Amino acid sequence: MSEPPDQSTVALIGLQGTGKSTYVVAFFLACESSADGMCITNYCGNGNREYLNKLAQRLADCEALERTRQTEPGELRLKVILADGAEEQQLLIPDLSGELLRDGMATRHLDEQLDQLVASANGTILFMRSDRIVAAETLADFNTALERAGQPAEGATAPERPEDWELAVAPTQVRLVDAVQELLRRRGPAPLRLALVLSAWDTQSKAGLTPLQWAQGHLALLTQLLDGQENVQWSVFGVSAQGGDFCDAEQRDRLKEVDVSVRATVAQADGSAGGVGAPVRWALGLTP
Amino acid sequence: MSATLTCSQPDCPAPAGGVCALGHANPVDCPQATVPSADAPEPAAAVPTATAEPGPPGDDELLPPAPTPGVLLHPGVALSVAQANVLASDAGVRVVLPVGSVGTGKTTLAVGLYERFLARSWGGASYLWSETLLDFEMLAFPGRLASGAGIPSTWRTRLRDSAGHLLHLRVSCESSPRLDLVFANLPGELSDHIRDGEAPASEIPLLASADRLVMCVDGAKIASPGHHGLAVSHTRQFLRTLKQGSGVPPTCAVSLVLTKFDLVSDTPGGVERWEAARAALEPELAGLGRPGIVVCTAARAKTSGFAPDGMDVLLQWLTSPDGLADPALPDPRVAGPRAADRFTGQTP
Repeated sequence: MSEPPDQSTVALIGLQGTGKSTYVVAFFLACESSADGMCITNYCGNGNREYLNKLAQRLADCEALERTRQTEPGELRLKVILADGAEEQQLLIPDLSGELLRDGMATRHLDEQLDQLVASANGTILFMRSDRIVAAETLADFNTALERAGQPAEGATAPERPEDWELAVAPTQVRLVDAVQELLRRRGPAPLRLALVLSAWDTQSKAGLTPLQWAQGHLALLTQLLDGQENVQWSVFGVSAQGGDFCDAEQRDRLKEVDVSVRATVAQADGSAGGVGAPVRWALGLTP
Repeated sequence: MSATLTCSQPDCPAPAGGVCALGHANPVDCPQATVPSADAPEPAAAVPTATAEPGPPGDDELLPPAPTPGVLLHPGVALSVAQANVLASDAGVRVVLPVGSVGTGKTTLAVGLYERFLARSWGGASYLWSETLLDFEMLAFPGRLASGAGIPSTWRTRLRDSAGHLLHLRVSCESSPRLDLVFANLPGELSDHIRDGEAPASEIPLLASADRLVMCVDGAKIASPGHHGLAVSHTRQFLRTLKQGSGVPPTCAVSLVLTKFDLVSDTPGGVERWEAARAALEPELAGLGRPGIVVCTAARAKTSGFAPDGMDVLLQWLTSPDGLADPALPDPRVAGPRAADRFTGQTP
């Protein structure tokens, strides 16, 4: 199906379980309830909202959303106004499974649908879970901690042959750098606006860091890569699309007392509050 | 396979069975090429399909990947000379050639330089890109807690067995907004052959392309009272054979780098033995390319916090345009891209 020429497409990319679907639903609910200066002006045909409404019901019930299957991708397709005073535009946000990216990076053979999306999108949002990061923990640091505890650093070296190594054991930031490098390679010199979303941001509140400080500390290789690309503009957002942890009974009870359309919170790069639509608006160049 | 290959590069003859326009020996390795899934090559051995990360609660079922046509991605593994030539003809590169016996720590030096960017910009440089990101990661893995080992080490087996021996790291630094460093990751046996009298140019053809020669001296041997003399002797023999072979370009800067300095420092008499070794070896560098630096490094110490580890000095030397003693001569990188004979030495 050919897309209308005035349509804006936002690519959501990230590994599986990084909060893409939850964000899309929170964004839809905010548009639907005319929150955050956004409103829907046209539903753009029939049928495409069943997926969104099903997931919205689960979110309202404080049930974590199942991640999108490769066989049942959803999408958000609406005519919307994304900010007070902004023009109406047709918006398409496909919600493809994170497994497509995971498997594509591991086999070095990217799904064609995902490839076309990242190559043609007007804006890109890269998701990662701030509470499930795999860090590059070194043996040297571990041995230092052992010695401080009065234990000698000893043990076997790793096996001689690297057959056991696989991309899945690489640090999160390396996997993201790998994905972004391939994204940039596919797009060539075309300008890219990339919003980095740190999902489950509510879990990081005790650290007292802004999203930018957090990213520079935990994803240093990625931030260096993005800073160094002439054709890339990027920003970072801390997003709690659920509004809290559904596995925590106390938080779940609190959230059930709040309307689902206003539960989500977004922190901008400097830590200031932004609306649910802030990453989409930024990715599309509607905000500086 | 090439009969079913398509390519987004205009006028590329590869789909018709010709040569890749971007110089890839195997056209399917080219990032511009697309191969229908039925013809897609098996995934590289070192990057098998990943296992699932933990998903949301109650969501453990995984479906197999859908067999859709797709696009080949860059493999991310060590480059062959032909692939590095494509890179060099595009932007120019600085070729770094670590040499030294087996187990000296040559690979660990290159991996250590990469790995420090995971924490921050350092040594006056920032990470920009790597065409060999996955091999850097694979090589770094034995030094990680996730490896299950107790003592940090470095893998090199796969690189030894494969066609590609070149690791790529693009950085920005004070002297250059984009500097492509290409590290030769060659087996130490080649250095041993030169030490034993083989012709340097035939053992290591990359010598002719080197911009920075890193003469590695094994700190573990220098630390050992019973081995340090032999380590000096072997290094001296290597340097003299190299000098006699006239294979080092006059523009190439040559440095003496002690590896595993943490072992030298921790061993009684180790530092004194290093000073003696240095006094014996430094004069041997004269007449070999251009004088570089002498630096003690600990790229991967057994425990963290060993300082100074010399790695920042090494990186600054590698990235500085005046890593050469005579600034009057043009630096290869600053002189701009070279023709496609960057590594082969052949006239285009």
